[in-house]
Amino acid sequence: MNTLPVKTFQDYIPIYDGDRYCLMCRHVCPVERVTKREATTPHGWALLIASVIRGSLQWDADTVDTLYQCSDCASCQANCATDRPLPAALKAARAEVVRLGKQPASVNEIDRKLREWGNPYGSLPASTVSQVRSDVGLYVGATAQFLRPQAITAAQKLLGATGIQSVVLGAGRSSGYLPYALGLWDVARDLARQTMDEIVSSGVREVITLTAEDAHALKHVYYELGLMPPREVRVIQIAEYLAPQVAQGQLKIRPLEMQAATYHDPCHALALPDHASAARQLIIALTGRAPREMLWREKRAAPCGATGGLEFTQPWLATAMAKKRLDGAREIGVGIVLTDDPHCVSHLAQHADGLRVQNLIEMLAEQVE
Amino acid sequence: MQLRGLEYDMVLSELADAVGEEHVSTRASDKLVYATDWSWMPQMWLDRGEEAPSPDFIVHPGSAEEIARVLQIANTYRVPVVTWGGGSGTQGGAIPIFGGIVLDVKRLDKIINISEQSLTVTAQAGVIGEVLEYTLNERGLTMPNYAASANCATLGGYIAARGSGVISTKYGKVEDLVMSMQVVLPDGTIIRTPPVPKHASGPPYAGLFVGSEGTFGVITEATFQIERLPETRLFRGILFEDLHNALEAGRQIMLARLQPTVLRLYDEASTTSLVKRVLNLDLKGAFLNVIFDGFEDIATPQFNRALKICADLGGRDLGEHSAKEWWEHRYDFYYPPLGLSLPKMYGTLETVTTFDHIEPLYWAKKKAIEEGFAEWNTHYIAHFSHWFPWGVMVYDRFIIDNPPQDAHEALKLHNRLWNVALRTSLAHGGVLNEHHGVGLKLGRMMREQYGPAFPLIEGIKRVFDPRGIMNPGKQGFSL
Repeated sequence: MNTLPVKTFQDYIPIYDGDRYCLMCRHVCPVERVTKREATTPHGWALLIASVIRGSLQWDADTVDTLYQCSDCASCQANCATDRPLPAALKAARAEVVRLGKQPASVNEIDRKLREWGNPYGSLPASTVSQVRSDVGLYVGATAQFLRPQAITAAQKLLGATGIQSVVLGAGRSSGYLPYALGLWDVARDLARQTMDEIVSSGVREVITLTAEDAHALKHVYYELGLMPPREVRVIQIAEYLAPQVAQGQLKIRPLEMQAATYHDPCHALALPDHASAARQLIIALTGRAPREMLWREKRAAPCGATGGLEFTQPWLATAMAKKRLDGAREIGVGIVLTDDPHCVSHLAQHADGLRVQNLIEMLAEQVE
Repeated sequence: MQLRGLEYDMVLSELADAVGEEHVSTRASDKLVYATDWSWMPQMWLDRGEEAPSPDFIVHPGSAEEIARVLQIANTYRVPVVTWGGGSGTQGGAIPIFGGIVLDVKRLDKIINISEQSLTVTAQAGVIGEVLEYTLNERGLTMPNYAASANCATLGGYIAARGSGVISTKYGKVEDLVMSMQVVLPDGTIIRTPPVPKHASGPPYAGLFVGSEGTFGVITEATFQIERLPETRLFRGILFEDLHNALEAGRQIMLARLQPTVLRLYDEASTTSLVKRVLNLDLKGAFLNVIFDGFEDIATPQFNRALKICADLGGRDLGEHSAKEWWEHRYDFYYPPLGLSLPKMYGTLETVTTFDHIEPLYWAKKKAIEEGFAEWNTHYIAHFSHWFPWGVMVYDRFIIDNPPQDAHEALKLHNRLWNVALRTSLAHGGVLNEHHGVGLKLGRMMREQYGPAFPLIEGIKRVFDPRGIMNPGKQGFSL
């Protein structure tokens, strides 16, 4: 398998140095909006790392904990006029922390589970191995398999309605994004290689993912890990795949009467430029109207806390971010939060407290003609 | 003044009782990040490995009442209190040089009321400027304080630094926009200023808090005048052969009492450096952006009159592209790697004066900096961006590409250069600063600017803050 050069902690020193005093993306940092800590802002993290490099701080329980509070949403880079790759640089810093053996115990626990199960949730069910042959693969990954299996059935139904019988790929196995985000890059590469091997051996030409995170991993992150995904295979997230099908009339959706809803742009959707528009087109197809928008949307979208491994390393922060996201929905007076990411649905639903959190893909599947 | 022993623990436990233990930090990672704002001095200090000024405690209060309790504790133990908003100040105003308490107000993040009837917004001091702007934009409204720091500065910081934004020429500085405030005084008393800013109920006492940089109290809430988003914006780039005629064009536009939204005039040195680097416009001369906004049938005739003034003075019409580019990328100048950064030494020397003084002031400062510090190959660049009915602000900067590596030597050179620049401004009808504030950097010069009036100002400070706990070492006020 071909490999590419990997940018390391040392390579990112100019980014830490350059960004440590830049405050221009503070306003879009969802972590800062929760913690209000100056240290947990993009410039705070950059300054922290640069200070460790200079010897004025050390990697210890305090600094490592602070480093692992970044939610890895990449909103800072998406809103940076000069496209500074701070999110990748922060993950390289976590990889350095892991290399030094200074990572939190929670990261060690995830490491163990990923090595044992290929995911952080449990052993793989035997029945997930697909026997179908097709040009199209439905990449399931870990979160849908374990947290929202109905999303898989819904996606298969929708794809079936467009005449596609898809091969199930990666059922129950992490794409490698989670360990990549946590600095566990060896594990991330192993999982990525398994995923790529499965894609190649399946013979598919197109991979449709259920999460934006997995599409981002397959399209972009594998390169950052030094791997070369098969170029002849197109990767697309399911909302991006379905929206043109609906627009062209190949997928017909029965309109659904429902109360006002908003839309949560899934975590990592910022990495997929067409996603925000595609998802909103699907909502219009389903409900006959555009979603009522929250303040933090599209390019300035806030994650729900399901990113960056926060559920495992900083569960209090993951919860607080989910509640903040749901408060955003309450502020605009809606009772329903739609999203198309099974992980986000699962995470938000745990904290919904009177709101309905629904998977757009599952709702579309119920309304497909 | 770092606290120690029993006193330290007493203060810590009382702060925790006042705001909640989870809202008081003594973490090293927190202390470090509050050791520097956006000013060169502390950044250089950290960069060169010197011991950073560090707070003893970082406190995140959630209400004016909690702030009152924190200030009472600080008074009891005579502990310095530095109020922190976004940390985007460029004058070292938020640096805890004597340690003590950093009072981060970002938990005060509620937008309390938006009145479309009066076009006002009331919000807490910790709201980030751009977040308020996003919120107002949802309703077709805007707060016309388009500060370059809007992405990071708080509303309280806008007021405390007496800041400004790129459309101030039409809409005013923050002191023109703020209508009323809630303030916690150093002894913990919570007050509200009168509900409207224009009245004859005595002098404008509330003005004491505008630009006070946390030395008179803690601003916790404010009401601002806002606007509807304009129906149209009209753009034109104009290139003058030299600065003289360009300044004259600006003067005539202002004296004609036209209402430009933006007159952004870059001197020749800025045009060939900054404008080229950030906007990729290859121009030689003095580049002037002219922008008008509002209702089209009102803005257009004014815009055309301004363009005629420029043409009569030899300005070459570059069309709208260059001006639009500037508008779209107006904040890009501050992003790395486009903005000024270490290891360079740099500073924004800006000041304001009347039209009759502005050109002599500019040339005097350019000479004083470039010739006076020629051994350091010091560059001087400027733009003129905030225009008034009587004068204009010059946003001038010095840049030294290779300053001394030793932190102490670098600071010495930095302060010597600043002293020269500030005294040149004062000698030519200018002031210490127009919209960045005073902070630590310029504090020592307050006595020179105000002369025999400064003891009176110190007396006022003592009335507000008899124990001198509020941001000591800033604005020339002692510990």
